[in-house]
Amino acid sequence: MLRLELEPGASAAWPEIADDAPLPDGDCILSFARLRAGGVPDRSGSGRLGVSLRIDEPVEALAGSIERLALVLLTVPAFRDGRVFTQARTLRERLDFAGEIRVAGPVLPDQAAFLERCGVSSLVLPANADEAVWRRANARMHTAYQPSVRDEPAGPGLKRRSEAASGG
Amino acid sequence: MSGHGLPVGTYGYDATDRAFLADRVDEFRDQVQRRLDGALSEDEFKPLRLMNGLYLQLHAYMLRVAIPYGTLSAIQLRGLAAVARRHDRGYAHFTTRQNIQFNWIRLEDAADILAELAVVDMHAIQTSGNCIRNVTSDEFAGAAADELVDPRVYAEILRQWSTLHPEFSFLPRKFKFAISGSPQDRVAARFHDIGIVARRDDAGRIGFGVHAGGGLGRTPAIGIPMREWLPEEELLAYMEAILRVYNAHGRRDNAYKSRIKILVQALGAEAFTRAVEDEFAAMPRHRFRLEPKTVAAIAARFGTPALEAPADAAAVLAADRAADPAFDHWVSTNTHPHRDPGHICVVLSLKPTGGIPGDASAAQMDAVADLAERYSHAEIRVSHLQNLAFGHVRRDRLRSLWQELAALGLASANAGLIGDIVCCPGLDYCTLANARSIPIAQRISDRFADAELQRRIGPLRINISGCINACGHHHAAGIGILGVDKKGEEFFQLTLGGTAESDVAIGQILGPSLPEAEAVVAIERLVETYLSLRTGEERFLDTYRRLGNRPFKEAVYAAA
Amino acid sequence: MDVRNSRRQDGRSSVITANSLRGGQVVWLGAGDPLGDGWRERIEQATPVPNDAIAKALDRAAAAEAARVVIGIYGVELDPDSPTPMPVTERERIRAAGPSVRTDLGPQACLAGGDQGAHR
Ligand code: SF4
Repeated sequence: MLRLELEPGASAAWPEIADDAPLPDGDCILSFARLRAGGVPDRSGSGRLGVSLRIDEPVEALAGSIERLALVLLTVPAFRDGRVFTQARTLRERLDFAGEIRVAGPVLPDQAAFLERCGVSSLVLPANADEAVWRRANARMHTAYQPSVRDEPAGPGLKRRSEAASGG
Repeated sequence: MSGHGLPVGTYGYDATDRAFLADRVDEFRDQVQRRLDGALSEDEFKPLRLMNGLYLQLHAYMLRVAIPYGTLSAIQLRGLAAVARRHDRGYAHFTTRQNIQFNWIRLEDAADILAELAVVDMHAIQTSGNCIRNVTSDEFAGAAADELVDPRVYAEILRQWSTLHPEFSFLPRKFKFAISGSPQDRVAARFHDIGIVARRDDAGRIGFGVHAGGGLGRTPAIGIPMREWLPEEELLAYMEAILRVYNAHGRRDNAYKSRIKILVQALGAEAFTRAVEDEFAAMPRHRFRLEPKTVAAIAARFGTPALEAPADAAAVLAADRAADPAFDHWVSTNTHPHRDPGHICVVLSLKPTGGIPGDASAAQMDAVADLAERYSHAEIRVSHLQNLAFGHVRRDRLRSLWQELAALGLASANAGLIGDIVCCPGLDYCTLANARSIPIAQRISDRFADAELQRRIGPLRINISGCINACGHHHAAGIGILGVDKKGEEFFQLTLGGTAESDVAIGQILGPSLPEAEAVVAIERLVETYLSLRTGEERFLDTYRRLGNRPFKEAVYAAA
Repeated sequence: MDVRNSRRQDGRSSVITANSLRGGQVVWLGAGDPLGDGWRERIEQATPVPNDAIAKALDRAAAAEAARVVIGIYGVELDPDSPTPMPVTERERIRAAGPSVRTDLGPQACLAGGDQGAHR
């Protein structure tokens, strides 16, 4: 079950590794450029691997390596930039990515439910974020008129119960 | 009336649709509060309020309320009138996108107004902002004799699908759909980001012709054909594919270059179409398949009118016309054939001589709601030409309706004629405007007040925009007028030869822009030139196409 | 900020305007506290500022936007030949008076003795 983890600093456990630095033991995140140039390094036994994408980097290019990735970090440059929704959805629907999709950058609480429905699993919130506002915004809407990556049954018509309703 | 208590011509909300609107109103109330508390900056709040139809205009906030595919019930129109009275200054403005705008709104009242609208199943969702906007359709939908498919069920499906779409609510720029079910394009389909024409194949199956990348504004463009025949079940999947390509690749660095038409031009029609088809082929289409049972469930929420007219209804109308020339003239301009021979479609002109195009008072709205209940199954339509329409009027009762409309000032016999001017609010209301558009509309309307003269001129559309955003669709008219700013002075640029109908064309600039008084004289000269050069009953557009700019340009600028 | 309003000639004066955040109505900065009662609904109540001092005055007024009293603060140049405060641009004259096609609405209506235009 996909869940928004609204924990400030959630990404702390997954350090992002500079392109010229050696890989540490433990979970870590590489840049898309490094992955693209060098392929997915063999990590057997030494931790899981994530990749970090800028908003203009094509998630489709991960198709060949997606099975060996545990996390994709998408960074939003501005809350108005809606490309992240398509990036997340493409990861889920076209690449069948089952790992964690984490979003960082300036998103609004009012966008959390949209991100979740597009397949985002967790958000890195600013340190001063008011968690109550985020939880309230994310639980606001009880109905959606579109399918989500969760494939809730439709009906009547196009309507679906959204997660906020079933999850309390 | 429908036997199920469902509104005729509009989608009847169920409890879930109502709960959805209630959630949305709560959300907006919370957003306003966060803005007032300082939790949201204006920069963050603005897209949120725009997606709830709230602009900040010259004099106050403006609220744009959606009239999905331009159809309203009498109850809804009364609800709008009540908002005009209670929260505004007793009037409102019908727009070229079949919406309605209130001009004097307070931010503090906005959530209450949305709650009042929700009582009559109305909302302002996505009437602005960089998202999928109100889906427009044909004002004679479900009634016109030339219709092949009632587009409103599909417009409603598109409305629901696009409402709070999780992926497409933060697009590069606004995105407009139009859908028609008639071969005679009354929706300007190819001037929309996506234009859809519903039709049936030889086996009677419903499918869709799809155009994309059209639009007016700074860079007018005619949409390119994407699909000749898209099967019904693939409608939403294909729309997802187009929107996904646009959302991923549309420009976000320059607001003037961020519409889908610029992406189509940048990639070229072929590459754009290929990108969409590749996306369509790769996406999980089953998730978006539009099942017949889904279409049926939504269609079942529409009330259908029981069309019963006496056998002699048409004969009564013919006799009424013969007896009263003024009525006869009005019937010849302001009606449209209905699929049922005992009925007729009627245009209620919001273009009185010298009036403000598209404005209606609360009293007029209430009166129209009453008339709709008595004459047209409690259903009202709003046209993209800023008029109202009744879909299903009995022919034998038309004369009596006409008399009642005349008493309300809604019976100008000018639909489609030069007095039927389309006009955006311009500098009298709009913060983006370069020039006032309403006063020049009023002057032209006064100049051509003579009904006989209007009939002699014949079909001639004048559209006026107060700036290059082209809300008045000036490129899509035989004569287009665009307000420009010349060192703080209001000037007007004329374009000729545009049309949004089936023979779609973009108006071409005639020459240097003119001050208001000269622009009005120029319109007179254009019309005189046309009348002197036309052969027989030739339309203005055809004379222009036959002779080109030159005689018109000479008439306007030679003497100046 | 509206760039059309940034033309300023030496020797002239300007007034400062914005819209009220809560009500949306046009307001003009007059005597009084920009964080409180300084914003008035009639341009006649605005305090003209010489153009060479307007940039500083706008900087001071900016606090009212941060304090969520008004939004969109900018300066409006006045016609030096007018006996009453009269903006040089049509746009600002319409903002000050109300729609030119509905003289029964906006501040102009109060001048004419009407009551329709009174802001609540
Ligand atoms: S065309 Fe320009 S002036 Fe007219 S309503 Fe649109 S933005 Fe405003």
